[in-house]
Amino acid sequence: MTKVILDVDTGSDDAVAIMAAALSPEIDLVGICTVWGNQAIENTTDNTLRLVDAMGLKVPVYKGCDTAMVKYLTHDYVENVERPAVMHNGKAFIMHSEHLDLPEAVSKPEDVPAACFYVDYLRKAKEKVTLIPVGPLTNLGLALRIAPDIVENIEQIVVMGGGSKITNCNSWSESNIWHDPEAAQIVANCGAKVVWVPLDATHQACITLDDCKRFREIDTFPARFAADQCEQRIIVHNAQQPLDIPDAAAVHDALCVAYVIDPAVITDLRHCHVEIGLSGYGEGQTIVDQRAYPLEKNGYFAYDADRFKFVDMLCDCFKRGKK
Amino acid sequence: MRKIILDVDTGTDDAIAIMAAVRASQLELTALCSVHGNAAVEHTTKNTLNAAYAAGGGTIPVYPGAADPMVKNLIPSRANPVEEPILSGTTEINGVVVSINPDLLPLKESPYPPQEKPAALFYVEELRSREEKVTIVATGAMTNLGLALRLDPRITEKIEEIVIMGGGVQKTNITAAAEANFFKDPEAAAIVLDSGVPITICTLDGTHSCGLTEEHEKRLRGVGTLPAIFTANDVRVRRESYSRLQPLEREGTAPIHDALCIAYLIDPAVATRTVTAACKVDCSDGISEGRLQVDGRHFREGAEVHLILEADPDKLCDILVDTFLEEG
Repeated sequence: MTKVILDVDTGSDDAVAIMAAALSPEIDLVGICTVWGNQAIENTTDNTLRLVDAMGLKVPVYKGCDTAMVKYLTHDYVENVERPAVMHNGKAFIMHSEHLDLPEAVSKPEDVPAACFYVDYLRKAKEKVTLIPVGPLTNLGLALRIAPDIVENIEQIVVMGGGSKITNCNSWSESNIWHDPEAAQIVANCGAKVVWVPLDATHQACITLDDCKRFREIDTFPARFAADQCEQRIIVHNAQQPLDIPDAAAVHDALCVAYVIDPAVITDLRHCHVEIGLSGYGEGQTIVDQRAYPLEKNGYFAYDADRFKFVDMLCDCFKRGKK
Repeated sequence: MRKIILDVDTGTDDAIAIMAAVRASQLELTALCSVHGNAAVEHTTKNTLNAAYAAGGGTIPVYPGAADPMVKNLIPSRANPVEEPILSGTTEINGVVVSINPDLLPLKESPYPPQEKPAALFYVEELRSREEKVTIVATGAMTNLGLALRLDPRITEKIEEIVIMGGGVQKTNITAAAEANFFKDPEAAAIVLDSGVPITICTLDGTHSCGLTEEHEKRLRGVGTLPAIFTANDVRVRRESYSRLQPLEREGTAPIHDALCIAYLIDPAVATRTVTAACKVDCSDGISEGRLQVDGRHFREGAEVHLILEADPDKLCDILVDTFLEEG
């Protein structure tokens, strides 16, 4: 079993990732950190707790940062343009609802900030831990600045973020990286093994309406709830960022969890030099050095994934859920 | 007794501030945090332990802090170290090369090790758990505080005041625009200034105005205790170094920057000219990086900060002499 810490801004696809990680027999989920991103920190933490309670998990949740390390100290950034809600059958849909459609949480977050948890836990860890951050990298950026030695106990960092040929936040960047580029750059060069699972891979591993039907046939809570999240995402994708396959959605964050369960789900992973743009019309860009003589290779960048295997893996996880 | 935490990049003037804070009966020094700055953090941590030990405060916990600024060194053009002939203060006295900021200070090695907990985590845990407020004195780059305030912005509720040595209004040192502590982590300084905590800054204008003289050096040496002699020696080196590398308006005087923060806490009357002004810190990659920007306009923008612009050198010397009088 691989020890895993998830770092989430829950989030529709974060929810699918949490359920997959919690249900996989390959993964020992030791903690969940939250961070602002898809929504404000109060919402992403509350949504995470709602899901933890709905799943009946005994995993501690650590509330993380409510803003970027330094990005908003100056006015020197390009404003993110919020997209309007998509109207579908008379209802408004956005990619990440403010509140997950689950009963209110009973559990509370732990009394330790997420970055403190990283430092404390990793320094004491007896075996190496895999980190799966799928929101802005603020918690990890802070932790690495406070205690750079924690990399010694990190097996790998599997990041959902970035895009080489595909972007979403603006013409050059993906949301998670754009939200805190400095934190991402700290992670890129921290010395641990970093696997980037960018939009190039997650858009390939899309989930279709037919896949959602498969989830519903499993008829456990996680399968039904995953179908809800994916169907919502498909509505928004169709209207705002249609994929190559019709009626499909990327479920980015869950692909990172699938990669940790079985790396074969990523079918094109290249060892390369990755760095993050920090200013102007390049802020938050994941820059992969494609030159014949690139800078030192500091990470792995995923370009393609097997969507059929991905869905099979999610089904296997969801089958283990409660009715 | 006012409880304080010192955050230092020890440095000779930090060492004098530490010794004064340990010895002062008006202050209770509860902890020390180290940070990169005058030297690498491994050295500043060691120097901090040794300075506290020299003054009889060896058991005061020292929390090792950040080795690097929050983000500044991610950008190649900002990461390049500035040539620091002025700040290293290296000069020659009687054929001996001396420096105001050697890697390791000439102090006996403390038998006490540093704490394992990193400084930023200490701030969060300490400030969350304590009942009463504490004053924080920061005399180096403010990386630890910047990180801690990002970890948990609510820690401000337990901070009485932050007294800072840094920034300059008319005076600067590391660049034409900036003072070294602000320059070494502008983002952290900006986070601290914007934190909402009451802030007093001993600016470079203030510390340069109260440089100590040969007369002060003699008085301190006459006290005869270890901290007093260490201070007298530093005044000697600084007078030499400053007169050659960055002469002050009053010829032959030497600023002991960080010590002014502690003197101010012991007796605020040491500050003879102060203003409250709206301040910001320039975080951009340009010629004014790290500059303390003071808004002189009527409709001003920025955090309202208390600035010390002038201080009384005789009073500063009196305070140090009184504080160092007893061996401890």
